[in-house]
Amino acid sequence: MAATTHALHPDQGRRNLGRLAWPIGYVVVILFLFFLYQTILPSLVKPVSAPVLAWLPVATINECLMWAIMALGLNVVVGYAGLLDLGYVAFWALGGYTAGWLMAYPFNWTWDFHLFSPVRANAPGTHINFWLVCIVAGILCAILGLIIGAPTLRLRGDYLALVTLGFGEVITQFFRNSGNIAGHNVAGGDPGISSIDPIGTGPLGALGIAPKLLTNSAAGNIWKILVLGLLVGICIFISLRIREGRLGRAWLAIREDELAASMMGVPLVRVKLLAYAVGAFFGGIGGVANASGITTAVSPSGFDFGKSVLVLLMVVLGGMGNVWGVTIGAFLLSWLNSNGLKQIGVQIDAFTGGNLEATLPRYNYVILGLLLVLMMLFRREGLIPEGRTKALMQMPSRTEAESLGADSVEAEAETDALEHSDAAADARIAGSAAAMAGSGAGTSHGSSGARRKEES
Amino acid sequence: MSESTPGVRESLADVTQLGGTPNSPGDPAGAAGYGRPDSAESGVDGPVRAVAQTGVDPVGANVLFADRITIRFGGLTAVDNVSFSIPPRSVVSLIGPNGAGKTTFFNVLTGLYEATEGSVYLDGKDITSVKPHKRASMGLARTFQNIRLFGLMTAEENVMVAMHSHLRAGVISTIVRTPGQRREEREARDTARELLDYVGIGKTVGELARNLSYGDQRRLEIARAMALKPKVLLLDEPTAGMNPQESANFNDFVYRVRDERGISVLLIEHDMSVIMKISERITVLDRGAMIAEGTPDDIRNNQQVIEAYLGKTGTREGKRLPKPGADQEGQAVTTDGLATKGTQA
Repeated sequence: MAATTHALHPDQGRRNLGRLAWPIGYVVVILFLFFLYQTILPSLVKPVSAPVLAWLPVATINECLMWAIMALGLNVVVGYAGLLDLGYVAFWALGGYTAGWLMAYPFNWTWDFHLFSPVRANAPGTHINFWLVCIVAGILCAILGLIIGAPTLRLRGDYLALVTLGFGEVITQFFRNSGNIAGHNVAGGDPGISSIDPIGTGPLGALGIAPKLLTNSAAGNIWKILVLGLLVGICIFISLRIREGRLGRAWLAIREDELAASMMGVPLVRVKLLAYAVGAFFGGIGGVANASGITTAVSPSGFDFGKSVLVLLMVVLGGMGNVWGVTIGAFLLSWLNSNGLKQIGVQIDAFTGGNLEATLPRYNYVILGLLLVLMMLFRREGLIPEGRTKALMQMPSRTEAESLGADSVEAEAETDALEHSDAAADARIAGSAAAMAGSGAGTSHGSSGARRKEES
Repeated sequence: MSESTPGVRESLADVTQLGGTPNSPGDPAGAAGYGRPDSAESGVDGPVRAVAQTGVDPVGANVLFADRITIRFGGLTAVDNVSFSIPPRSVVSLIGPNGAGKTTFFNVLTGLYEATEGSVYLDGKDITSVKPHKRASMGLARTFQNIRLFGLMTAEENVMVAMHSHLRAGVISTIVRTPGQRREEREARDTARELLDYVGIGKTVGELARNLSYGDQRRLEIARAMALKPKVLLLDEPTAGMNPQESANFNDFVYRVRDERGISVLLIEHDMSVIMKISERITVLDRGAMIAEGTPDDIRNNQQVIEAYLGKTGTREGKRLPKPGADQEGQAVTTDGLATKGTQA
């Protein structure tokens, strides 16, 4: 994948070319992908273009980009601030439903409202511009994050994980029962909301350069690479910027040693809440991108616990805390999940004549779980680890090594310090993710079925 | 702790009789209100000093004042009715054998534990119910007995974390990188480097904290604490693991901090030789109660203290005491002092 080869050495590149290196590189990659599908592939002969389209269809690229937004959001919470969140799907769901409320004609609303929307002016329902809805959903999710976080972020470690897990389920159940809440249809209940507006292309569409609406047609899908690519770019930009400032330092500090951080004047609850809110903001945007750009419909069955685990896997597998690692992790896993496993099955079938094409995707969570176990055994720090974590995983710190010769009191202090160290926390997060992946395998039938429905 | 009451009273008499350096009301350091303000009426045990009756308001006169602190964990009284004060621009110490309640008391000062009874004042303000991070930003900085740096952050970042409460940039201004945010970051970076230079590890700016040597880590902890612009610097066993040369340098450093920056320093130490040389005043805790308080000379000659370290509580701390014939003058004096008092007893 072109994106992979570029992003593998972001650090060296940045040092050599200055701060503009990654934005330029990123734009080049996205433009390359766009032109690959827009002009290059159609002009090539079928034997060349067919395998590319089979292994990496445009729809899959869009899905990968959408998941990258999610992974980047969860990375702020898990990777930067070290808070294990097992209910991240809640924000994805709320973002999706926000799109449902503001970009569709859900359940016979009696009033119509249009705001910079590309759809016909006389269409019934609420139709608001995609970008505005992104912002609204982001803010709504950030507020939900604050509401969920305020009581729970006082908890530590495992307790926080359990409570977030609960909240993730609560939100899904809320939408499942939303057909009749105190007599009102809030979000369509089990069937959810369908025919959400596609993304409009505004002036580009008016000029005839791009299609007016980015539907799931071939032309629309190719243009979505640019739109979703832009969203991912914004998320990467925000992630990198925020990481370098006052808040990013405070997140790293609480990830490493909460107590010491609070003793240095870092207000723990406030800083954690901000991590939660920023992560939720990304999650909301991911939800809108998914609802409007990928599925054009939202229903409670799409927001199962498995999705939370999937995003967590992307973060852990890619390399917690490293923006590029997480992006690659998201690409890899969502590719495997949506198309890769199927293609691998097809290839194996060609030799064995079996039916792995259908069965392999059904065992996606088993395979992802195995992948994670292997990662934890051989490359605990993730595909592209954060520079710091790598140092931790590969070499004992000086005091650790020196403490071997120290007296027992100091040795004890060291073990204590080790318990608080990042490695332990990371391992715990990864460990629970692995456990969850195992349990998620049970639900894989349902979710992969739902995904196939979405793809068709 | 009531069983020790008579002993404490005796020891007090002992101290005042045997001289040491009793506080005269004119003595500015003494007038700063050591001891309890109204311990006579509260009927508590422990030392009651003449200075307590001089009428100086201990809350206003001290940078930090802990008023009759008691901490109970279930039925166990870890700290029993201890008052403690840190005058401006001073170097004071809290000592005591293992389990004396030093660290517990320290944690009440920093806000990690809430005192069962009593209150803490910082710069005249009651901070008894103020959260630790708020206390830190109000000027109460500490280091840790077992170093607790942010190992995977660079030395510079470690120091900058402590500036959190002094910086203003929010989420949006960090993302947009407004001119104000840039200036703030630049200034914070400069201050961090300056502080690293100040503690003598300016070369390590970009090193991960975990890769620094033990001594440098201790220095970095102090630099980090100083980034809070503290009024009081609480150092928990700062010389643990230092060699004699390093701890000698450390003494100079503590005085520099006090004189150049106007910061009061509170030390918790096992190591008597360091404490005796460096402190202007020493408070001794044993089994949660304050058993003595005064200048190093007072303490050196105090019967209670000697018993706490060598007698009653056994020789748990014996190995920490300087050995006879140590080549350093201060240590020799300490030993002498303790030895003579021991024989007198």
